[in-house]
Order: sequence, then C-alpha cells, then structure tokens
Amino acid sequence: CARRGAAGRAAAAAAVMDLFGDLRRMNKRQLYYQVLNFAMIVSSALMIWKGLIVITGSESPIVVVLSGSMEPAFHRGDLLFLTNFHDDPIRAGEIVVFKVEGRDIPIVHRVIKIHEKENGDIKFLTKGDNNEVDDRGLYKEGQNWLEKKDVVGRARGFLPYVGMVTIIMNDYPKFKYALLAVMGAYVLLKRES
Amino acid sequence: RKNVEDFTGPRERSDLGFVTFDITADILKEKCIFDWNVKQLFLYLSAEYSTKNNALNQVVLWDKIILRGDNPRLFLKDMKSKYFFFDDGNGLKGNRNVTLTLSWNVVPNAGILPLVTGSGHVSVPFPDTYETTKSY
Repeated sequence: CARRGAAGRAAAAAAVMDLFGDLRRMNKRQLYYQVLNFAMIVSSALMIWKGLIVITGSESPIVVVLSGSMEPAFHRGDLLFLTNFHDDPIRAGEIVVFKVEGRDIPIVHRVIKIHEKENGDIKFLTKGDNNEVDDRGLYKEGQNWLEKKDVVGRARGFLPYVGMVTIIMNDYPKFKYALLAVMGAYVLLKRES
Repeated sequence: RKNVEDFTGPRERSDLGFVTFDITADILKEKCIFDWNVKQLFLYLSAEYSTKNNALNQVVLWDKIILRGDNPRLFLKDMKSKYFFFDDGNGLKGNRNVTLTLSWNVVPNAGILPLVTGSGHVSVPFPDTYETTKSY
C-alpha cells in the first residue's frame, strides 16, 4: 500500500513537471500564439453577448431568477431569456423583468395592471405570483407605477436550474476565481499538436 | 361600483369596481394542453376598458395557478375579484364597454413561455351611479 502511494505521488509529480516542461519548451512564437488564441475566445464570447443585446433589444437578455417570488413557475437559479422590442406593448399578464430606479437588482414579476394613454405612455403595476401584495412596496419612495424605461425585458423563454452556477459564483467568490484560473490555465497551456 | 379613495396607491379618489363572476372551464377538452413539457398554467381574468384619461386600461381581477396533475375542470361560481379593481381616475362610472377576458400563461419545464388569450369574452357595463351601501 505504501509503495502504491509513493508510485502515485511520483506519477503526479511527473505530470506537473511535464506541464512546466511544456511551458518552458514553448518558444516565444508559440506563447504569443497561445495568448492570441485566448484573446480570440474572450472576444468571441463578448461579441456573442453584445450581439444578443442588439438582437433582443434588452440590456441584459439573459437573467438569473434570484428569489422565490414567482414560484411555482420560476425558482431561484432558473435562467430567463428576455426580449425588449420597442414596439412590443406591455400587457396585463406578461412577465417582465424590471429594475427599480437607483437599484441594480433585476426583479422578475407579472404585470397586473396597465393604464396606457393614447400617445403610448404607459404606467403599470407588477406583482410576484407568490407574493400576497403588489410591488408598490418595492418601488422607489413615492413611486406608484412602473414605466417602460424601468423594463429590462419581457420573459420569453426559460431554462430551469442552469443559472445556479451564477448564484454560486456570487455567493462564493473563491469558486469564481478558481473556475476562472482553471479555464485560463487550460486555454493557455492547451497545445494544438 | 363606488368612488373611493384608492388607499393602495396615490391618495386621490378613484373609481373602485366590484365584479362577481362564474368560470366554467374544461382544460383538457379539445386536446391536452398539459403535454410532457407543461409544468403549470397561470390563469387570469382581466378587465379591459377605455376611459377619458387613458386609451387602454387592463386590470387583472383574479388569477389561479393550475399545476400539472391538478383537476383540470374549473367550476367556479359567484367569485369575487381577488384584487381591487381601481381605475386610474373616475372612468368606470357609466362605462358600457368593460370587457372581461380569460387568458393563461403556459409555463413549460423548459422553453418558450407563451401567453394565450382565450377566444370569447364577456362585456360588463358599469352603472351610471355610485353605490353608497356595501352590497358585497
């Protein structure tokens, strides 16, 4: 048993040495190539995200449900896909994601009342399915209605559980850094043979 | 219908409407709306009308969540509205064209969230005078 342990440790040490050996053997050109590769991946991800923002018209087309106020439809950790087309009218019964003025947290609730003027100006009230009362208590001091400008988007589709990763990363920042470090190491050290 | 101070919002006097209704629904009648990807239905009754102040008003009067596996037949009589039917102003008095529609939000296990409005609606005309006594 002790011998197997020593052999195991030796193998692990050899693997690590290999890795560093790889790193040292990489000449400058290869290193630049790896870095550029990494930059490409990051830029592509950013482009896809920005593209989504343009296509959907929403500043944040994918949001994670943070509270249980829309249960049993949505639970904490679910992922929501939003659109925010300018000509899409806001109607009672729709699920909207909005931000209260001055606060950064997006809230996902249902529209229960709308009053729209002829010129299109609209004021509306929201309420979480799982809440007893409407959201007036959540709005800004003195604010009784929400307006179009407060809306981040309308929920069009959803995936359960997937957003949990974001919540975990938020609650345990060490996990986030560890994940980023592993991803970064993988991309930088991966060699195309 | 009464003219009451809207105590849930801005402190001005607005019209408060009282509606009672019956709902008979058989959700599984035509084809099963509860397929493998439907987690629940969010049913709601909304009143839609126009007033002098606002070209379009929609107020959700009542809602119900129907989970997969729940009894799909609804036979509700003499229901009172769950939420206060306050108008933004005094537009309910004498309003002949208040339409009640039943709609529902289909919540899938994963995927698109469609909002469907039931075909057929009921028109509810509001009287020209206010009630001074509580008839609820």
